[in-house]
Amino acid sequence: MITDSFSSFHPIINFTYFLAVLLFSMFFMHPVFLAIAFVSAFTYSIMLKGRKAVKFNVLYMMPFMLFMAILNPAFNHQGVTILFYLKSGNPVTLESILFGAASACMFVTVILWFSCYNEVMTSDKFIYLFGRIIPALSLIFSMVLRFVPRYKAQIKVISNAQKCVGRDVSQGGIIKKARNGIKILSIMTTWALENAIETADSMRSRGYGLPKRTSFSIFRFDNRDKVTFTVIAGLIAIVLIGAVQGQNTIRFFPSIKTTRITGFSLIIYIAYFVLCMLPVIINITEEIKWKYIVSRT
Amino acid sequence: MNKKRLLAAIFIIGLLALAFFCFGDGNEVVPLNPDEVGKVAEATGVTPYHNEDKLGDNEDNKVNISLSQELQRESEEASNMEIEREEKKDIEMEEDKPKEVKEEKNKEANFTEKKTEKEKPIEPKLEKEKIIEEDNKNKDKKDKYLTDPVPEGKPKPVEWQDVTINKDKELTCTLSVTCKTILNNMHLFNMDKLEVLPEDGIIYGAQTVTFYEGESVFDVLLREMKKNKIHMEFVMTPIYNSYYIEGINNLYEFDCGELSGWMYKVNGWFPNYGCSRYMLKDGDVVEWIYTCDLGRDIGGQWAVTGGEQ
Repeated sequence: MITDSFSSFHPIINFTYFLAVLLFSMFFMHPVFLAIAFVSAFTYSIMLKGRKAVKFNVLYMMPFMLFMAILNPAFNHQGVTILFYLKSGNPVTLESILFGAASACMFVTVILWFSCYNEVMTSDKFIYLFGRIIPALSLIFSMVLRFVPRYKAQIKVISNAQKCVGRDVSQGGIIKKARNGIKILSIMTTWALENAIETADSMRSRGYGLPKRTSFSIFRFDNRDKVTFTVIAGLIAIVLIGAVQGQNTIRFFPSIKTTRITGFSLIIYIAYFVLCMLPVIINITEEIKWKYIVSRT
Repeated sequence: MNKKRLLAAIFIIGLLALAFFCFGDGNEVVPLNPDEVGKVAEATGVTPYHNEDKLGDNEDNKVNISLSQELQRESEEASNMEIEREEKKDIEMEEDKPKEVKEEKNKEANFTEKKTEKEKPIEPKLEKEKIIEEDNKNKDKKDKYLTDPVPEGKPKPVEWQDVTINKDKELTCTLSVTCKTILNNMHLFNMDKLEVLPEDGIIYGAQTVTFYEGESVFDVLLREMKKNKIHMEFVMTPIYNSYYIEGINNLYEFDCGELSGWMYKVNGWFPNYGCSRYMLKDGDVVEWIYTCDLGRDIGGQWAVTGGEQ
């Protein structure tokens, strides 16, 4: 795991990148595009979270992908290539199987991108970007994204405190355990309600949402950001040209059909690959630069 | 400032109105003119001979088919009479209704009878209200699967759960699957499906097929489509206790406008119940026909709108 220098860029770059990559991997079902997006999301998530990501991807995402791929042909019977018939009499077609596999791949890719997004776009960055335009909504959004991890941490705190007095869910008989669990839940609820009021009061007293307020984090849009932003915009433009030409999509029903691969489509593939791999490329070059500087001193 | 806003609002409303009048018609189903409806029926009627010639089958079959065709024609006329009678009844029942509606009804009756007069576009709202009203009237007459009373002389629906198929007794019927109306409504057609659309609109030319006693229209269709490697998808609809055919040969419902789908016709009559509830008899002529306009374009409106038309 290396330090993620893509996170140190201006939030607007992080946000544009994730927005583009998420939308593209949702809408482009072409197998080449799916493969590129999947590989990049996989690599970047491992780069960001290390061993935890490997475990998550292999243990949860792969079975999920398989499940989704099998589920589709059970309910969707379109397609010209009939492989065999189900017991009910409906046909299982090659097209529906491939569509299931493609949509499963797309689904998993989007989940992986979101796991990367949560690591990079922290709530202070999001509030920096949208705090002034949509103060209430951006606050809600950042609170919602933090909701589960925060409550999990708080439950752990309460549970540890209860353990000291012998009232944790891991202690006592089955009835006692249940009682302790409910007690912890009740403490949790009380804390959540109280905390919500406290947060609201605290934010109001600090004047959240008033004009001319500065953010907690201050970011500067420097030359490095300008260059990266231009590169991202250029790559997005190339991919969008491909989308207009119909190069990025595939027709599954009734038979599988894509537009013919030309020299230009290769350029689009490369552009999409560079766009998706951009954080990985940035991280690796930064690492090489750092190693070079270290070795000189 | 206020004036500007007002102008902007008027401009937007104008734009929407323009869009409505210019592009609103794009999705509307253009009904086939009655000549074409006749042509469709004629063409499907002719196919058995044509097909038989190609196969070079024995003469017994030919006689059988021509006989059954005559039967079909007779029953068609009968069904038309049936419909007419029903309509007359309706008119008598709705004596207190405004005159306009009655006139419209008469016109429609003429249409079904002669199939020459061009269909007069009815106000959709009025039509809908009429159908709902008619529906409410018939509520007690419906059976437990929401089927309107079947006209006299037509077979009553048979629940497939109650029937035991007698494998020893082999019977024959004529089956055909056509989608000729799509050829006349290409502007509505989903162009992705162009490659699966047969050029002459015949997916399965009329052929004599064997079935076992007690089998329904659905059983025969499923077996023949499987045998001939023609794609077909269906789903069980418990509320009507019947299988619903979603698509044949990858031509699905809604592929040719939002009122399109598959309908079936036995001996020239479009049953008003599902294909799993129609128990076949020896010598029946089954036609599966694609419609782009809820059956109105192929002469099967009665089955969809109930006793209305």
